[in-house]
Amino acid sequence: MSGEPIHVLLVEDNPGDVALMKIMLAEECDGRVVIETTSRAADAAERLKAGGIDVVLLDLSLPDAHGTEALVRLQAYVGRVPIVVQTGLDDDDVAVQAMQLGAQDYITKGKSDGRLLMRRIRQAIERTRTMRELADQRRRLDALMENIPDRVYFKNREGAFIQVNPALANLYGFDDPQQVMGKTDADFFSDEHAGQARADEEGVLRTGEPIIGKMERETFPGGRTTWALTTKMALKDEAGEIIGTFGVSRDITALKTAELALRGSEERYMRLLNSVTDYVYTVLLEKGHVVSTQHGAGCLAVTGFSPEEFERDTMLWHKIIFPDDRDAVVNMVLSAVKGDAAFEIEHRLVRKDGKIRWIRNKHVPRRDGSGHIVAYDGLMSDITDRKRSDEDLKAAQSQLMQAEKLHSIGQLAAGVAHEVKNPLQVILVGLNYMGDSPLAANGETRSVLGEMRDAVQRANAVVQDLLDFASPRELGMQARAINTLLEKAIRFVRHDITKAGVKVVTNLAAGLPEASVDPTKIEQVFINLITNACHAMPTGGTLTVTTRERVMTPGESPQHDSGDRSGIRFRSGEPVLAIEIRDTGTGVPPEKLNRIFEPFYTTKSTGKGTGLGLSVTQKIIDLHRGKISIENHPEGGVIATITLKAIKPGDRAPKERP
Amino acid sequence: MSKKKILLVDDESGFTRLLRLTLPAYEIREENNPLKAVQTAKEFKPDMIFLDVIMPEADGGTIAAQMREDPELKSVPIVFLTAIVSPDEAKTRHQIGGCEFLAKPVSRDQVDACIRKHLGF
Repeated sequence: MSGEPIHVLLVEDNPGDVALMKIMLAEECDGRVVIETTSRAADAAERLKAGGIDVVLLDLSLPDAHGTEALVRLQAYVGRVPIVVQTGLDDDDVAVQAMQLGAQDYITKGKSDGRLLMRRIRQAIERTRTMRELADQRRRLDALMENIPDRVYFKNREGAFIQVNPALANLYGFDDPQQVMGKTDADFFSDEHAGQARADEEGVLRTGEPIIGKMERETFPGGRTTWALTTKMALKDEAGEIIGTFGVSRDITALKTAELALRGSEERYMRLLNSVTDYVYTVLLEKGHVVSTQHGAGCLAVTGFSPEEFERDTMLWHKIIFPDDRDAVVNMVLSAVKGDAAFEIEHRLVRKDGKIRWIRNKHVPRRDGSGHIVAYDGLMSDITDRKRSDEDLKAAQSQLMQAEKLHSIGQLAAGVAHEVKNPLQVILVGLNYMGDSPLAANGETRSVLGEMRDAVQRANAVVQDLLDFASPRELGMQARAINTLLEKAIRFVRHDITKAGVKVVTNLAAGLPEASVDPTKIEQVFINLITNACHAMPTGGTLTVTTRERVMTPGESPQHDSGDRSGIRFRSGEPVLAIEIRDTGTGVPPEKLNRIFEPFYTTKSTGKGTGLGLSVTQKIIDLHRGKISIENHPEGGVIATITLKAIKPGDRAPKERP
Repeated sequence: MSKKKILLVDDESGFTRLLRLTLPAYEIREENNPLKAVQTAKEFKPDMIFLDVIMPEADGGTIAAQMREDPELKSVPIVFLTAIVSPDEAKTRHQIGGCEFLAKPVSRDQVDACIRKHLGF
C-alpha cells in the first residue's frame, strides 16, 4: 500500500463534508489518496461495479437511501471492498446495525481527525484483504475435500468422525458426509480392521507421531476387502493439545490386486524355472566369433557342471561331448555361428559324474535389426530315458523279429532235416548192406564205400548244424568246471585231430572257479572251435588250448549301458574265465574276419563246413552272456577267445533255468 | 534159440528193407503203414520195436502211446528213430515213458548195439 495510492470512494451528499474530508485526508496522506465522490447510493454501486476502488466512505443519510439502507444497496460488494460507515449521530444502534450488514467500521463525523480516519481506512482495507484470503483458502480447501478421490477425515479423541469428505462417505455407502458424523470405524468395518485402526489411532493420540503411508487391508462385515494406503496424524488445537486425529487414505485395491496377480505370476514363473531341468544357454557373437556364453541354471542338472565351471573353462562344452559325437556337435556350432536356421541334433555327453547321457541340443539364431546374427540361443534336454525306452522298444521288436525268423527257419530246418535225413538213412544202411556183400572183399570197393559213408556223414552234419542254428534257445544251466568240458571236447574230436596230424598243447589253469553253463551247448562250442582249428591246419600244426581266471578291467567292461543287448554284460572287477583256442594255421584274411559270425558264411572249401558253426557258437556264447572274439594271432594262426562269467566264491550255484 | 523178433515201423520202405537185410540175425518184420503198426505188433509179438517219429497220417509218439495202453505190448521196448531231434521231442519222450531215441541216419551197427542193450545179450 505504500507505493500505490489508495482510491477512496466518498459517498456524501453534503458538499461541506466532502470538502472537509478531502482536506483531512490530503493533510494526512501527502497526496497518496485519490478521492472520488458521489452523492447517491445508486451511483456508488455503479462506480464500484467498474472497479478500482479500495475503500468506500459511506454516509448514512443519502438522498436515495436512508440510514443503513445504503449498505443494503451495496451489499453485493460487502466483503470485497471495505465499507466504512460515517454517521453524523453518535448512535451505537446504527453502528451495530451497519456492522451486521457488513460494514468494516464506522466513524462519527466531526469526532475524527485525519490521522484517525486514515488509520481506520487502512485497517478496513487490511481486514477485508485478510478475510478475502481466508475465504479463498477455505474455498480451495473445500474444493480439495469435495473433489479429491482420496478419503479425508477428522476424528475426535474418541475416534468419532467430526469431518469427512464425500470420498470417505462414499466408501461407507453414503452420499452426504454429514451422515458419517459422530460414527466410528467400528460402525463400518469388521471388528478386526476397526480394532487395528483404533489401535493405530490411539498410538497417534498418545505419541503425536504420525503414521505415514501404511498399507491397510480393510475388511468389512460380509467379507468385502479393500486395500488402502493410509496416513494418520494428530489433530491439535491452538494450544497444541491433541484433540483428535485426521488422515488421508487412498484406495489401492486395484493396484494391490494387480500386484498380487503379478506376484502370483512371478511365483509360477519361478516354480516353472526351478522345475525345468533343461539347460538353456546363449552364445553371444560378434562378427562371426564367439565373445561370451551365458549358461542357465539348468546346466548343473543336465551336465553336472555349474555355470561358473563353464565360465572358467571355455572349452568345457567341447570336453564333455562324447568323443564319437564331437564332430557332429562342432558342425552344429559352426553352422550356428554362421547363422544358419534353427536345427537340433541328438548326441551324448559325459556328465561330471562320468555318466553318459543322451541330449537333444537345439539352437535358434538371434539377429539384429539388419539381419546380422548376434547370438544364438540353445536348449539342451536330457533325453536318455526316452532314448532308453526307444531302445528297449527296438530291442523288443528285434527280438520278436528274431523269434519269428527263428521260427520260420526252425520249420524250414525241420522240413529239410526230415526230407534229407531219411534218404541219407537209406543210403547209409544201403552202404552197410553193400559192405556185407562179397563185392566188398575188394579193397578198392571198400574204400569207395568208406568215401560214401563219409559223404553221408558230411551231409548229415550240414543238416544237424541247420537244426542247431534254428532250434529254440533254451539253456540248462549248471555249475561246471570248464577244464573238464574242454578235455571232453578234445576227446570227442580226437579223430579229426589225429587225422590232421595236429599236436595238442593244453595249458589248463588249476583251481579255476566253475562257470554257470549249459554243458552240452558249451561242449558244442568247444568242439566247433577245435574242429575249425584242425581244419585250418590240414597239414599239421599245434593246437593250444589255454584257460585262466582273470578280473575284468574298466577298459574292457562296457562304458555305459548302450543299446547293445547281445552279449557283453561284464562289470569291471568281476572274475571271469578266459578260454583260448589257438591254431598255427594260415589265419583268416582280414577282410573276411568281420563276417565270420554271419550265418552261412564260410572260408572253407565245399564239404568242409556248413557256414553255420560260428553262428551257432556265437549264439550260444551270447545266450551265456559271454563274449567271443576271433582274431589273427600276431605270430600266425587264429586265436579264438571266449570269456565267461565265473561263479564267485560264496555265490550259490545257479539252479537250472526254465 | 529162436531169433529175436524185431518190428520196424517206418514209412520209408527202402530203409526197412535194407535194415532187415543187414541184420539177418534177427527176425525182422517191416511195417510201412503207420496206421497198421499196432495191429501188426499185436500179431507179430515182437521182442522190440523201432518206431519212426515223423510219418504221414500217424506219428511215432501216438503209436507208442497206443502200444503202451495195450496189455500185450506195454512191456515191449520201443526205440524211436528220428530225423529231427528237437526239445519238443524231448518232451514227448518224457510223456511216453523214457523211450530211447536214435537220430537218423543210424548205421546197422548202431541198431544192432541198441538191440543187444535192450534185450540183454
